[in-house]
Amino acid sequence: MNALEIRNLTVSYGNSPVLEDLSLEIPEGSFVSLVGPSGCGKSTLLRTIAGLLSPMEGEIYLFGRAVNGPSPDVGFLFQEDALLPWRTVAENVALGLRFRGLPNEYVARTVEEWLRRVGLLAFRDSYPHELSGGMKKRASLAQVLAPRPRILLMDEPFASLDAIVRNILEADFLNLVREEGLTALLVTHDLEEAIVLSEQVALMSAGPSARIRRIYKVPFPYPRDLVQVKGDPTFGRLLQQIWSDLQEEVSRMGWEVVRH
Amino acid sequence: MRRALALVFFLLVWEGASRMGWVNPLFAPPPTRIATVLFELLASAQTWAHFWTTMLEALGGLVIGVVAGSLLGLAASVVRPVADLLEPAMALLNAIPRIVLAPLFVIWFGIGIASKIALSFLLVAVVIFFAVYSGIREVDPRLVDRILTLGGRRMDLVREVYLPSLAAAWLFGGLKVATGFAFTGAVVGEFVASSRGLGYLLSFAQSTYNASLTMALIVLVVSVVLGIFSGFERLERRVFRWKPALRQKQTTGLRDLLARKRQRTIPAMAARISGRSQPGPEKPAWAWILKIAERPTIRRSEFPQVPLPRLSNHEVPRCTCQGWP
Repeated sequence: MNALEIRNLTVSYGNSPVLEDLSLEIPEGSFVSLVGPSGCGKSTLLRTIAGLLSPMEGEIYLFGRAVNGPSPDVGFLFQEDALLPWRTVAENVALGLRFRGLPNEYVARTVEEWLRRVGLLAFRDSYPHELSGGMKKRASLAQVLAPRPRILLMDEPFASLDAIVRNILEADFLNLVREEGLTALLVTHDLEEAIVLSEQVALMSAGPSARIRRIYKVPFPYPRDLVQVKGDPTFGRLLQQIWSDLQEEVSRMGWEVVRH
Repeated sequence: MRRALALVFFLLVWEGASRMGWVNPLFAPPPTRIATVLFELLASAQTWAHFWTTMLEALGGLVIGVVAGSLLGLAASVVRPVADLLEPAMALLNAIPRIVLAPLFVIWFGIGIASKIALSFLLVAVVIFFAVYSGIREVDPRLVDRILTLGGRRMDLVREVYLPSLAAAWLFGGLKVATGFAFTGAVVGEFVASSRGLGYLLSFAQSTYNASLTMALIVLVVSVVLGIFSGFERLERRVFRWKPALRQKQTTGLRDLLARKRQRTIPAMAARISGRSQPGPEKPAWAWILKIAERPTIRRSEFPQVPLPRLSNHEVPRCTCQGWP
């Protein structure tokens, strides 16, 4: 079954369509990255899938069910660390579980387990402002994964991190996603990140009226050694190919801007 | 410390001026005289009856006003029709000096404490309503998205995001303003018509041209309000443990910026002027002005001119939170 199925989706802000007639299918358990020129509507697509925006036309199905609002199957990892600043780390991680009305004892146990998995058990009673960027990111990840979503949507989750933390987190994060058997859709600006983490890279065309232009298969099996993958000649070729297609899209968008 | 010294100096000058006959002691009685009157006031049981009357009116108006204002503000921001109904009325009440309603309230509620509570309630409720209403509308939308995608419902949004943001961003700021208003309402209400309260004593003092009693009463009211403020500040520090900025002293005020500037520039200037590497002990407080004057101004034409692409206006779409299957 497809985890996500988008059919002829059109989303507009006011009168200008951001996405037009966009279709995409993601099989269950796969990891897909979404790349494209900035401003092409990647985030809009993600927010629409999460049920935060309503489409003008077209349908979105998550695990065979039509989306009409936020769904419990979806975990959404935002670019910013939108942890509640007035809640401790443990309380933040517990949020999704509490919203589902689960018994306190189960919530406490699950939170502890997740804090251990992301290595934040010692910081359970800290407030978000007391954590580093990487720690906040791990806390967000625990917060999103604790209620056991089936598909994880990510909007440039690693964009604000420095290179070292980023590499470490990417590897940890990929392991978590594989362990949990999650379907993942990652929006990113970083082509290397997209290739290294995912099975498929979907390139979006330049907006407005963006759609999926092309899908590339990434031929590396899981589990992957991310460093090794980056050294592989296939990786280089794939990167070059996506990059040249992306540049074409960007220059097309440049024409759009001039014409306006 | 410096502020306390300045106050002492001011009081000394006042005292001296008053005693030397430079100012008319009838209009500006010396501070010692005011202090004596204040102590006499505090010593008499009658004053306390007046004092507690005013406190009851002000705090009663404050509590009811804060509760009602918050509830209305909350309702207006969650339920659209309530906002349509309340916003124009509140905007009108906000635009007029609400204190003009005092005579009307006396007619409606009599000269007892009810009319004063009503007046201070009205003053407070409008302020709090707008604080809550605009506070909720300015809530961080990312947090709202976060709660919705985690499966939170409308009530969860209120509890987890709206209420804490409210308390956080401005409720305490609004609360301080409201406290001032509550006492304004009580005292002015007593001015208009009353037989008890500090406002009544004030109007008595005024009609007998008793400046020292007037000032003593003013000191009394001001110290009560300041006492409540310091209570709020203590509460603020306790409640906002999660907030990084409130823990240490905030250094965003203009004075602090100037102070920082001074720290940086003055030793350097002093060293330059005196020709020594060791900064001199005397630092003119106005030296930063020189520093600013010395700074080269960047002309507009020197900024790099970047042509910006014209983009179409995007309207932000409404969020569709249709609940949770």
